[in-house]
Amino acid sequence: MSAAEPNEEQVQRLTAGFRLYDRNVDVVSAWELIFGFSDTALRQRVRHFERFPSVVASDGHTVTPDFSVAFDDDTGLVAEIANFALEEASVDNLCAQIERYDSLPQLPAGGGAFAAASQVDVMLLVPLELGTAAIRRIIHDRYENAAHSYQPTVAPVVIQFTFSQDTESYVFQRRPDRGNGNFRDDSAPAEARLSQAWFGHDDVKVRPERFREIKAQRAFINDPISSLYLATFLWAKTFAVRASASGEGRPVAIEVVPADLAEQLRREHGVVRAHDIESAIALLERAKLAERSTTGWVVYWAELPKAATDRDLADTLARRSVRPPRRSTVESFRDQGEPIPETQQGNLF
Amino acid sequence: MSSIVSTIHPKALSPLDEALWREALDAPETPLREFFSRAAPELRTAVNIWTLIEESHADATPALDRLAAMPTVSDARWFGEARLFLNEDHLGPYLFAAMPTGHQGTLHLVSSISATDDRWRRLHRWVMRAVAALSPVYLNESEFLGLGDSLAEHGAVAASRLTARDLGDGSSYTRGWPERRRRPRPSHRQALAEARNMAVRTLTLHVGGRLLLQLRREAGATFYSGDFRLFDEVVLGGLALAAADRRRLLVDRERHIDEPLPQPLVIRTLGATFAEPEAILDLLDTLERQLATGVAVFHRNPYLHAAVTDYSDGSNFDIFVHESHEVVVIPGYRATLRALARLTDAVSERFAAVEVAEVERSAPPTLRDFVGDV
Repeated sequence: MSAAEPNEEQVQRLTAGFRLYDRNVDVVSAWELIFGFSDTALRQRVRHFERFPSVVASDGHTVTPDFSVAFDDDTGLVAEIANFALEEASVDNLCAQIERYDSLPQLPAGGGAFAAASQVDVMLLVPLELGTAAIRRIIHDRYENAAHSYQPTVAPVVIQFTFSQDTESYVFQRRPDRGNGNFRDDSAPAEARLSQAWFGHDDVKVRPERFREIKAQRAFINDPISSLYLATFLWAKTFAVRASASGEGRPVAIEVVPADLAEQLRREHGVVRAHDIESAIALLERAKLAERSTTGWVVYWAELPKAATDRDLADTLARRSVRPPRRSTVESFRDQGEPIPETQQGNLF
Repeated sequence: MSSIVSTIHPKALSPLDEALWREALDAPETPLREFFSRAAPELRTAVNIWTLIEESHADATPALDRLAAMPTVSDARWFGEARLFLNEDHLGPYLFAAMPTGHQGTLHLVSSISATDDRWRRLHRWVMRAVAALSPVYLNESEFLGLGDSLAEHGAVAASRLTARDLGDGSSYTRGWPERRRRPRPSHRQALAEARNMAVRTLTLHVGGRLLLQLRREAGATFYSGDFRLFDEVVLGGLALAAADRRRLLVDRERHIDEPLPQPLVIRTLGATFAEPEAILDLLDTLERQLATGVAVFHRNPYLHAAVTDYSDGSNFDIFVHESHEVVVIPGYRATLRALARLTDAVSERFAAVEVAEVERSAPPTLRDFVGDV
């Protein structure tokens, strides 16, 4: 195997992770549109839609589902977008995670408050290609198997989704298989029931143009952020703004304290955690665009030249992180004669 | 009286420029347009106009200061509320003026040098590269045609020349219509209709024997001969109104924390401009190469979602292409007027957009928008 092949695989892995995260941002944004901004009887039942839930489960673990909905009748719903692998351990991990959701005693009610939940439906969103496997491996092999440790109070509701070119929309289908869970909303009016008006006789379709403002505004979801996705976001937006304030010299040294930057992004968009920032800037470090400092990091921002194979900035960052240039932007910065921010690197020369 | 002679070169100002510079010595309070109304037809001089929008904020040095900083500028005087700038180069001295329009945040740059003169091109480059406070306006199709419609109220409008850019291969296109008894020249609308799949740049019009002028899609015009007052009232007035409308649309669009997202903007074209992947690539290429911007694609297919960063000032935008004939722009936490104007003008010009507008507020989606035939 030549040296180039593993690099290419690394780039593809980064790119795949980027695409997966972006797709999941779309899925959460679609449901935030429905639960938070639609003119529907379902939305009228909603006390609070939380895009970034963090809830202490009955066993003391803190869980972070992909979104949660507290309804006005003290029931609720949490959702998880699931990708699972062929290995049984991967499915077991997923089941252990969602089993905690089933017995959550409370759900976010907005403003940091929580509302008691008498029951919580678990909406398991799986890509179309995993729909059949989800029914077989989660419902039949585990939930219906009395010998298996996965024993929630009720079966999760497996919803498979895909993007349809014909309707130019994300399509969500409740799997009709025997054993699949359903939404326990009998006491709600028919039009407001996910089990009736929404998934009862048809699929739910959401056109992406309807949630573009939500996507632009919120930008992130509750999962760990793909390092390439966040690095690209920071480079194109947050760091570009900071760099513009500093005049025309390039590169511009930008000091980053991960907790502070996470707080800024929380105010501007949504929950971003300090370890997400660490992962993203570690990618920039591998790309020779950043280095550690005594307070966190220093990022050396500049307009990056595109290689012929780069389609855009994300490609450029992925490629650089895997095959960094010989010369770092730290060295370019030093050549400008600017004072170097205090870094952990003891000897720069 | 002796002519004003350049200290660099023995050539003198043109007769119109000399008269203008001399009259400014008396610190007149009459508007500059009054001078042109009188002097341009009398001296048989063309007058070139470029209409710009202005953003005043802490980051941008005031426009007049930046205009004065152009390397060829050697002196400046007030003429009423207009500012005259005396320039000197190897070709000789010349003037250009910054003239208020009556609409806040807009001005006309005015000069007797031709739009095809290197000196005008140098001024154009200076404004585009070094005057952050000023931005041009790529007129909507309705605004461009509307100027011709307004002129038609004063006389028959006949087009004698059209220049355009071919949207397919980017080549230049020029069409001329000589005056013939049996085949009258087309109207402005007829001329534009012949130029489908073209981005029209200029249109030379005769208005009922009263006025000869050129209209430019990059908000501007040239008075060649005839009734300057008519030109001022209809064309300069129309350009200023269009510029003011565009400024209102683009200014103060950046996001603020804890405030609702401002309504997005849309750049609309005719037909299925962005239906093919190549067109999307072309759009991304336009943004990067023409504008010195960075593009990061978050979602490529089947809809486009990209972050566009203007490297000149850090402004950034989310752009979306869902429909084949629209680009939707959602500004970020930094979005200067200049960056937004650069983005919308470049995309509009490259794809011959019909208009730049605010996305209409639509009613929230109902159950029928999600379930059943959507």
